[in-house]
Amino acid sequence: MGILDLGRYKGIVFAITGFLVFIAIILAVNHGKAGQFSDNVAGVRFLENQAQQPHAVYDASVLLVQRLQNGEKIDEALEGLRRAATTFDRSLNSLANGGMITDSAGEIIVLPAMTEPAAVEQLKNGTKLWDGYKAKLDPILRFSGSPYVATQPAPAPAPAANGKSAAPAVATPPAATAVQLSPRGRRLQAALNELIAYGSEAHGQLSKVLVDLSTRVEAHSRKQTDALRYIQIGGMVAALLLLGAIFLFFARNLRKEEAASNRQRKETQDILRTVNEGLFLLDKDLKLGSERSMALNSIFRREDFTDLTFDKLLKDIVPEKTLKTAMDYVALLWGERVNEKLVKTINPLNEVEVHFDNPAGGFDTHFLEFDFNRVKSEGSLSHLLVTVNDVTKRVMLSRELQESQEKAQAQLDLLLRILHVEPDNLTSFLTDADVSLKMVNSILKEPAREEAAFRAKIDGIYRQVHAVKGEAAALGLKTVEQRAHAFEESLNDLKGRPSLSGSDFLPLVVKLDDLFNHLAQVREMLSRLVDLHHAIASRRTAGGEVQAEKVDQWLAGQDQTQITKSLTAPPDLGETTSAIGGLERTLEDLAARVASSQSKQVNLRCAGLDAVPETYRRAVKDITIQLVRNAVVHGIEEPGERTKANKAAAGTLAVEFTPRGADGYELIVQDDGRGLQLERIKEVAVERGLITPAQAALLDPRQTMALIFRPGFSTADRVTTDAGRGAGMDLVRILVAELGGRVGLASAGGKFSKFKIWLPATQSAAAA
Amino acid sequence: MASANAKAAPLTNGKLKLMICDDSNIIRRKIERELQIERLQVIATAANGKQAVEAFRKEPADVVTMDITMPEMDGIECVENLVKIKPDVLILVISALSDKATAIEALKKGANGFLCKPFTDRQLTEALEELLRGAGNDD
Repeated sequence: MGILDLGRYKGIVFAITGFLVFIAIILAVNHGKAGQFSDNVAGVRFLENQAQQPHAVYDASVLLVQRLQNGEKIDEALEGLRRAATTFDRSLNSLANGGMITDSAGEIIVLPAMTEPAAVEQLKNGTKLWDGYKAKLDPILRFSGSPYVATQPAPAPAPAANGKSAAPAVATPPAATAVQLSPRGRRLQAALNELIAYGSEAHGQLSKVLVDLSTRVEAHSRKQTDALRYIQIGGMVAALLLLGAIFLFFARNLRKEEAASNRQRKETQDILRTVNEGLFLLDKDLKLGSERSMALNSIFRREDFTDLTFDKLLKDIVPEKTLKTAMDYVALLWGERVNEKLVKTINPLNEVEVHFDNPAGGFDTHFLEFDFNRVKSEGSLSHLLVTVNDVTKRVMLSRELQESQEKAQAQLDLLLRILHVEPDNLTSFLTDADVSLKMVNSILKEPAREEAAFRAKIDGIYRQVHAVKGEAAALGLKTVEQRAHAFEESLNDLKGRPSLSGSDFLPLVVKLDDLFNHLAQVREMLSRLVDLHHAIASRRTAGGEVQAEKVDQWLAGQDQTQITKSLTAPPDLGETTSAIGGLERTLEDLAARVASSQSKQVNLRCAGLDAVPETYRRAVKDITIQLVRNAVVHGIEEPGERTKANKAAAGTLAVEFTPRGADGYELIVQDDGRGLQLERIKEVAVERGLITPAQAALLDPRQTMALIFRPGFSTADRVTTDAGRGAGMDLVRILVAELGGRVGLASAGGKFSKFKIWLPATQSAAAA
Repeated sequence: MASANAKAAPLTNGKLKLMICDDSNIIRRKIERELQIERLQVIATAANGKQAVEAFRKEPADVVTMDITMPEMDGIECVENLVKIKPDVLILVISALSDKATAIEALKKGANGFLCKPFTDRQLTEALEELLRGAGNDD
């Protein structure tokens, strides 16, 4: 910006300059007039002096006559007359023509030229009078030498050459003898007498002319003084008017500008008050600017943003890690290197979860979307414009959408899974699960007041849910397994609490309901499939048109229950005699599935499961599921490890059920895996707080193995649906004990583990 | 230590030199194949940060596309090295958006932009064009 580029101040600078120029002109005129004024004063003084001059000429001539009469020397008096006459003559000429003369004091005086007709007339009269005077003076002034006869005694010395002091002498006749004048002297005397006769009248008139002129000059001077005063007054008034005009002009402009800026400010405020986005500017110190949109108050649930920095704004509502990343991101935008448009996708506050304290307790979760834009002013980055939106609804909707998609996908998976499961297995599972869940329900309803009773309830529920989970896992019913797992998690949470009350069990009801509903869904899906099967089967027979129509209806998604009810032969969803054949396949499926999830290989061999009596069917199923799963997870090694140990890559797992007549039954589950690792078992038991390190040191192998049947024991590092919570062996022990049986365990490190379960003869089992 | 011979002669055809750095052969080929910007010419590809730095020392590129997770030397360290060699190099980080903090780390070391994997040819072209446009401005 150049020095002459005054921008909005151009007007005021020009106005002030104009005003100063005007004042300078006024002062210059003033100065000129004031100079004339002093000239006039000098002129008046000069004219007043000159008004004396005719008297001086007259007096000089009288003195000359006196001298002559007295016979005194006349040279000096003649010279005085000449000087007076010359001075007056020069002055009069100067007055007529205007010009500069030097006065008696040697000062140069500028005489104002007499141009007014009256003054010219007066001057002309004066000149005329003087010309007459000069004609009379001329022979006198030309006189030289002595006017006396030569014999006459030396003239008396002249008295003081003063006209006035000499004047009385005129009246006094000389006392001495008559003076002898030469003829030239007589002529001089005659001329002098003539001059005095003329001058006695004329000198007064001449003086008057000069006095009049002086008065005229004085009047002229007064006029000039008045003019000067008027100019000054006019200048002052004009200056005041000009100043007033400037003031008015700028006041109006200022008001206009102020009104415009007020309007702009109001518009900005209206926008900021109305806009739905949170808007603010961040400076380089990450301080929020003073102009903000009102929406910020509701988005951030605060009123006060004064002196707030961006990190303080976020500190209490986002996790520390997010805050750090966000601050790094903002710092990047302040740098010059990063391309703003190319880093929007990594904005860590793009859709950030924030928590606000709720006055009623707890906190509210919201999702905020921050957008940052660089603001440049005069080519350099001055601010970041931050836009904040509350996108909670959008996020929730998209999550709901995703959930419902996942749900639909899960249902589809479930359906596909159901298609792969043996129908008998599935029906048997559904029946067992139904029984288990009903049992859970009745346990939940049991009255309990003491801590021990609550704990017993949890254990009871746990066993039932765990059994459902195990079976669901065996059948590959992932959705059921996940729900049962979630139920277990809740139970585990309860177990971990230092004290329990009845209300702690309320969330379990919800979980139970969820499981019930889900199983009902599975049941309904199965029933639809059976319907479809029947419908297709009937369509194949003659006269199956009605059924074919029903299939079409079913495919069109019409009301299922009615269609199902109208079917002539409802499917048999009850127990079948081949349930145990199903167990074998269930165990094979389970072993294969768990092995695959653990990256292991296993061959399962089952024997004698069809000999399991009805009374033990359920228990044997639960026990074998648990032991098979444990064997795959904990016993069988990974193929690499097995190869190193000179074993076949695939582990072998055997499940044998053998009736022993009156001695009851024997169930053996054996694997050729790594065997029980006694040291690891001790470590885990110590870690879980089941025993102290000192106790661990004293345990023999048998006692160590027994630890795995303790509640809460598991060596799996992490809880998964396959293993890890440590409830499995506990469950086996309880199931066996409930049936009046026993569990035996043998193991050799690196070689095998063998669980041998004895169950009493059926009669005693029934009695138990 | 390395900036002494950083300025190399531009390509005779007036194009800008591009180096592609990604441990995935597929991604490298994809970028090479889908590059639709006349002003850019691929002069080198590298499968890890170490190779990239070596190739860059021999002939510094004007523009680099950079993966983050790579063996030997990761993208973050590589960016730091390339910027030391040639401070005005333009680097587009191309990575999966699993961890924004890592991407931000690469940008802190001197990368200029980010493109999320997987990307379409159009997204790639737009990102590179924006990168070049940004360098033309005072950004």
